[in-house]
Amino acid sequence: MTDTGEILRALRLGRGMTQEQLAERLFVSRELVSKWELGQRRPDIRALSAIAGLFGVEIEDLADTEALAGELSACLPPERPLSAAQLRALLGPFLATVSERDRAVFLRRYYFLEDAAAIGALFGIKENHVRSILARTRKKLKAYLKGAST
Amino acid sequence: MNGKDCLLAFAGLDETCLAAANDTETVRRGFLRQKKRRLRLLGAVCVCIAVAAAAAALNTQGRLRRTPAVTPPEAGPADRTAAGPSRAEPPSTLAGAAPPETQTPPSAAEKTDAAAQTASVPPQTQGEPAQSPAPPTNPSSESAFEKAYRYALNDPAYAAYLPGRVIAPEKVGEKLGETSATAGWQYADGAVPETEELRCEIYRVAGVDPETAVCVRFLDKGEALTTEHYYVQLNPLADLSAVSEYVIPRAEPGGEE
Repeated sequence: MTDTGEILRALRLGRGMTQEQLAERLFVSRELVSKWELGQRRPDIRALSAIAGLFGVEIEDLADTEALAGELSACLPPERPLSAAQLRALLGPFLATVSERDRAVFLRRYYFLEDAAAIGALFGIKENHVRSILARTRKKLKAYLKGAST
Repeated sequence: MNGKDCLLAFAGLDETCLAAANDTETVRRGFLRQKKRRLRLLGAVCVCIAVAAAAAALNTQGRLRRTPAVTPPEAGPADRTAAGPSRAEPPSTLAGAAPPETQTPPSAAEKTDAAAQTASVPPQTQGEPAQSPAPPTNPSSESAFEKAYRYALNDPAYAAYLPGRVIAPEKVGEKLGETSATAGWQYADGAVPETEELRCEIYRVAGVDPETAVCVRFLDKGEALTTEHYYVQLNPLADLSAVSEYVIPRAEPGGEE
């Protein structure tokens, strides 16, 4: 299991940066950087993307995202691939079509990179319920992207 | 384009889209409401199933089938009083076991007719089951009656007396003696397959000659007779005008009384 906090700390110290300097570059607070490094908080996909870009590494070097990427790859239409820009443009409108609860669960998984158990505890529902919502929403996303690509 | 690109696409979401995911308390309440709705629905379904199962069980046991579907249109409240209890009533309410408050006092015309009709009935011999206080005699409504509870006093002095209505306790006079009665269910063909001996006390009806009428209180409980009520016994050969209120009119085959 990848320890995002330790990797981030090593990358930062390798560049001779302080937590404050890193926070300025990422447009976040120093306290948040400290929490990331101590493992008290987990950076979301936006922060991970920014850190990976800053230090020139891949996001999978910072966090275990293979499983997440694998889940989402099944949603992509294989016959007519979408570009990254198209995908970014379609994701917002798609999330507007699903219910507020399903959207919250979906974003907790793929934006905040939380596991099903943590999401269940956060919203007061069972882990299986979370998995069920995720599977249902991915199915909708697949249909939505397929419709958009044709 | 792969799953990683798709995951990175989430990094481009705007804050308004992320607001719902950050408002965890609202989402939590939403899930709670959904859970409550499902529980209520489940409860309602369980209640429906329980009610259906109970109804099915009752139907299986035949309780619903014993309830009469319709009341015979001929048997109105007045007919019920005159012609005895309906077919759907339990045996304990048949014949002379009806409590006093269930009997409607007859009108003046009914009293006269009833006295005349009762007086014309020939006396019965000792030991024969006499007509019960409320016999099913109206053929239009009671022709399907399978059996009726009859009794006759075994005292020779009152053996020919016919049963009348139940009398209020305050109208009962002094005790005249004790005897027994032979009682049993008489079927439509007249047969009385089983009889029982019931001990009883004979009382005077207040202000009435015992040659005209007496009343009886049973010491043994019969199948359709109580030990609490006083049952009037009328002499069909006497002038019954003084006790006409206790006469049970006898219906003629046409249904007219």
